[in-house]
Amino acid sequence: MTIEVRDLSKRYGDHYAVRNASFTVQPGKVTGFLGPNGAGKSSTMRAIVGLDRPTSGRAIIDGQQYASYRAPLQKVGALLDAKAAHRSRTAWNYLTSIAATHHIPKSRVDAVLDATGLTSVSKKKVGGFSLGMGQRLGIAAALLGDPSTLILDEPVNGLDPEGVTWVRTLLDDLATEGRTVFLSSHLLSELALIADHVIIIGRGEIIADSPIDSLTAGGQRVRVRTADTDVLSNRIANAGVTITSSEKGTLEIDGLTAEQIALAAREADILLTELTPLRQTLEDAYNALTRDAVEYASTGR
Amino acid sequence: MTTPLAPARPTGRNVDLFGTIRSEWIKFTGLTSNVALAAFTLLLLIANGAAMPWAYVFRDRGSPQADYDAYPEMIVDKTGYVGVILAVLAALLVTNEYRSGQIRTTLLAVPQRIPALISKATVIAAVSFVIGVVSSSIGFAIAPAILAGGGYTYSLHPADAVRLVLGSGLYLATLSIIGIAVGSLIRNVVASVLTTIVFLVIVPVVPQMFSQYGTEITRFFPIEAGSLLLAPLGTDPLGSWGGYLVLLAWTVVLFSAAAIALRRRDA
Repeated sequence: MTIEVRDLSKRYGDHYAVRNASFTVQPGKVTGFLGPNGAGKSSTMRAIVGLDRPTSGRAIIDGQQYASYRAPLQKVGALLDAKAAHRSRTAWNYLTSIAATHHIPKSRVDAVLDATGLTSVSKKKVGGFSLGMGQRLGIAAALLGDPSTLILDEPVNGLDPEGVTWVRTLLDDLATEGRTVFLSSHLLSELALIADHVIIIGRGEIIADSPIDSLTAGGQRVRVRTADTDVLSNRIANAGVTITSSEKGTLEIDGLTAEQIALAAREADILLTELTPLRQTLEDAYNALTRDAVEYASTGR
Repeated sequence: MTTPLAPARPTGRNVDLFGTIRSEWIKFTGLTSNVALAAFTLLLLIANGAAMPWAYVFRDRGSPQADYDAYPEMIVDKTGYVGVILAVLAALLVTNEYRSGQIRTTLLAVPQRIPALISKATVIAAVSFVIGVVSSSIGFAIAPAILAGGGYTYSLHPADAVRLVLGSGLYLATLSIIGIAVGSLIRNVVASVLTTIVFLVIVPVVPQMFSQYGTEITRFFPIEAGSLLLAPLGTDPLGSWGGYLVLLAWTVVLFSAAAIALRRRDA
């Protein structure tokens, strides 16, 4: 149930999609895999489930490679792209063909169809599915073997709000049951709500790997607005205190609490017109960390 | 929408060939186009089996005499050329998965990969075998009646009948596996279909364009060699079964190359 990635590198021609990535994904919590487009999320996930051979390093699940498991779908359920089925197939045909490989009974196929709300469309062709239905089909396929580990690439893509809530609840339930849940996403807002732990990747390299709380706690920054910025700055300047100024009359102070700043201002007879503790959102942390690592940035407006 | 997800007891067992073959059968029958193409080939072969004696009888009307005696193999000796359709179908079984992305699902369920390839080959080979046996049986059942209409007959020994009927099945089955190999090596729908057709039908006659001795090379290509199994005895020094073994060798080599490529490549 533990996914372990050690010094994983994957090169396509000259270009390294993933470079020396190392991290561990633990059971019992939802781990998010964040990164800009082209950062290497999909490449990493494909290497974990044996679809791609790493250039170097390794990715193992509970100490073994994915391909060495005799019944891999009972170990890992993966959703790597939605609607990865022939357009003319029915959902039922798609799922039963997967189930057959592992001798999974039809009753289980019925159960996952029911759990993903696809029972009414099971005999319809996959080509007619909306993006959201395709996602749910992919999740159904991932759940077929009742796996202890779930690896999901952008699972909420294309889902309506009800669907997003459903996925979030589902992943939370699975993690609470003790399973390992590893999902990648661009949707920071969604990850902020669901992930317990976040791994951030940029330009093929891991740039953060920590519980979500410590990422969002950030430094305790405080925004201060005052007429006497210079005097205040001199007053509180110290080792461990960072002061930045984004506009005239405003200071962002890192390293002191709001109380400490307020006391310092009163002692110097300085009037503060704003004193706001800033809590870093996941979005801020993400943007700060990946600012230099955006692979395919749009230029200009 | 949420229901309890954990099943009452462990679901599924280890992956084995029974499971993967059943999976490929479900996939094969799940697409109408597969079944339609197979049915079309069956009908074409039955039509071919009836058309040959028919043409023999009616040829006589225009010319002084039929220039050769009727022989039983005429019912089936063009089987290979129609069988190219089955090789193309086999190539499609593989390449359609690459086009739709289903291949990733397949390789996630069967990460050992080779059992999936073997299972695909088994399904198309079994379908082709049945098509060959059924079409040739029907052909031999109705040919004597057609020939008798012109006053012709042929003699068919039981041993030859077995060779020609089972051989039709065996020939088509082996030929179809070449399609699986080509599809797996090339992975692109159009390119693999074209390659299959060109390799089986056109490439063998190219040596003849360059030299009168080109026929010496042509006879070792898959369709030409395999057709010896369904040809009158003495057609070629290789012999009926020698010719089939040459076809089998082609199939084994190409399938092995496909299996190696499948294991080593990224999905």
